[in-house]
Amino acid sequence: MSSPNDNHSLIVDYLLGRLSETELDRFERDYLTNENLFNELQEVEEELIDDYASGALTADQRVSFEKYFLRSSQRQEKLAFATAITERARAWQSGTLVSTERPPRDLTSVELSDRSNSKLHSVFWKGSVPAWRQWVAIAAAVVLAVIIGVLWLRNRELQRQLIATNANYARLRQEADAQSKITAETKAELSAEQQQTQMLESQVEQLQTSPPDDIRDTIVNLLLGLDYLVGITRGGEKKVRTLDVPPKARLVRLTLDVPASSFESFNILLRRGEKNLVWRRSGLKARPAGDRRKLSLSVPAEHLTAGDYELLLSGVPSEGDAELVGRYYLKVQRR
Amino acid sequence: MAKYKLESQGPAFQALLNWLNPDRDCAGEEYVRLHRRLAKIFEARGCLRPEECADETFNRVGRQVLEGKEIRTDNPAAYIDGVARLVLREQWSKPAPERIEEVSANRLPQDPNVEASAKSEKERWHLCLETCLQQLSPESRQLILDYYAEDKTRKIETRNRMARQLGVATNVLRNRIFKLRNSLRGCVATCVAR
Repeated sequence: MSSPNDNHSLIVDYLLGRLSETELDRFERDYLTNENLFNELQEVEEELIDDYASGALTADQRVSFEKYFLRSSQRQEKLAFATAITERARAWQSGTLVSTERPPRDLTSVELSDRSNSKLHSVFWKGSVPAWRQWVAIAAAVVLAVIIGVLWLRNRELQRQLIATNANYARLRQEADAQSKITAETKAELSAEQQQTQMLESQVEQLQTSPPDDIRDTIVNLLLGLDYLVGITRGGEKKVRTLDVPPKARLVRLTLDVPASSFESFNILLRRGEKNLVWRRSGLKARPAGDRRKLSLSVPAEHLTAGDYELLLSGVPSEGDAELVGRYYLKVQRR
Repeated sequence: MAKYKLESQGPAFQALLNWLNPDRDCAGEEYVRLHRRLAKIFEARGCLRPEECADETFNRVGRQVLEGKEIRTDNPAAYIDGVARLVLREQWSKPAPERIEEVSANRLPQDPNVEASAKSEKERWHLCLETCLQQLSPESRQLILDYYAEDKTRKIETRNRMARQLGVATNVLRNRIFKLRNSLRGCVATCVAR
């Protein structure tokens, strides 16, 4: 035999059944007596099996390997071993298999056939998580925890804002209800005043069609001077003005002296006792009369039955709510 | 063909050893060496049971020696090789019935569970391999896994690198791998056969 390279290709051809019968006989006789050639044959055979298991053979070599070389059951068993350990090694190398006791990279102290060291180590097969993936998972868990924390804080803040908003909404709702109530009352008052106005207009029309003498008997005029006004701030003695209402009277016209003021208009409310409202007017404009100012209020006579009445006078400024100016007291007598 | 078995305790075997070498120990070593090579030849030639064919070869030579047949040769290996070829021809002309356990899996009748069975067999190999790997030292395990994980198309480059890391020549590395593989495979074969 010549060089090792020549031997290698010759051995491969021998193992794959590519030698002629003469070549076969000669080669076999050689390795029967040549120790080195026989050892080389064994090594090449092992490498051939490993190469097949790892897919390193050419297509032609694979065909020969499967049809010729693998006829022996011992070789099939060797191939099963090579396939298993190749898969195992590749899984270990690619990281789909993790050993908790991974050997050091320094191989200078390798002891072959060392069976004394049988210390078991945990090995996880395919499907287990490699080390770098475990670190990624831990990092992801930390990031997730931070995000959850931020979201929890944000959620708490939003809940607090929601509670405050709900409270604000409830307060606004109460104010709106109160405003609605006031609006309703105002509407009711306006409606009442419109009815009163219609009633007065109707009576005035009737009076216009009455003879002049009759008019004198049907309209009763009464002046309520400042001396009858019991003021809120200035106070004053309560004086009661008597009003005689004849049977034919249809309308009572009250003329009120009001003190000089900056009120734009006045509201008047006539009532019997605290709750029995008789008549009301709002937005009355005072007309100047010398150093005083006067207000006129017409009330249908039929509304004034005998009894004590209270007339409340309120002034309405240009801005803001009406203010009570004072009270007049009346005693109605029906003849 | 009857099963071949080595008549290792009989007079033919004793005559064979004496014929190989008058020194008893040297004769034993020579017998083992030649037997391995014959088995390899029978295996390469497609003999289903190469060990038994090698036994039969030695039985025949032993009987010839015992019967006093004159064998004129100064190279016993060459004579044994000639007898082996006769045994081989008999093998080819009268193929022995195959043992069911030795019939290649793809030649057996296929049954519905064959795939599951193959998968189970593969798992068994892997399990045994893992068990045997754990019995190696960490360094040996590293070496064998490195070897089998290598890109076989860049074999020379990879092995030079591995040899440099070990601080040994490549042929020493190859020898270590060879022994380690045999050791590990023996362990796995025993485990799988249980």
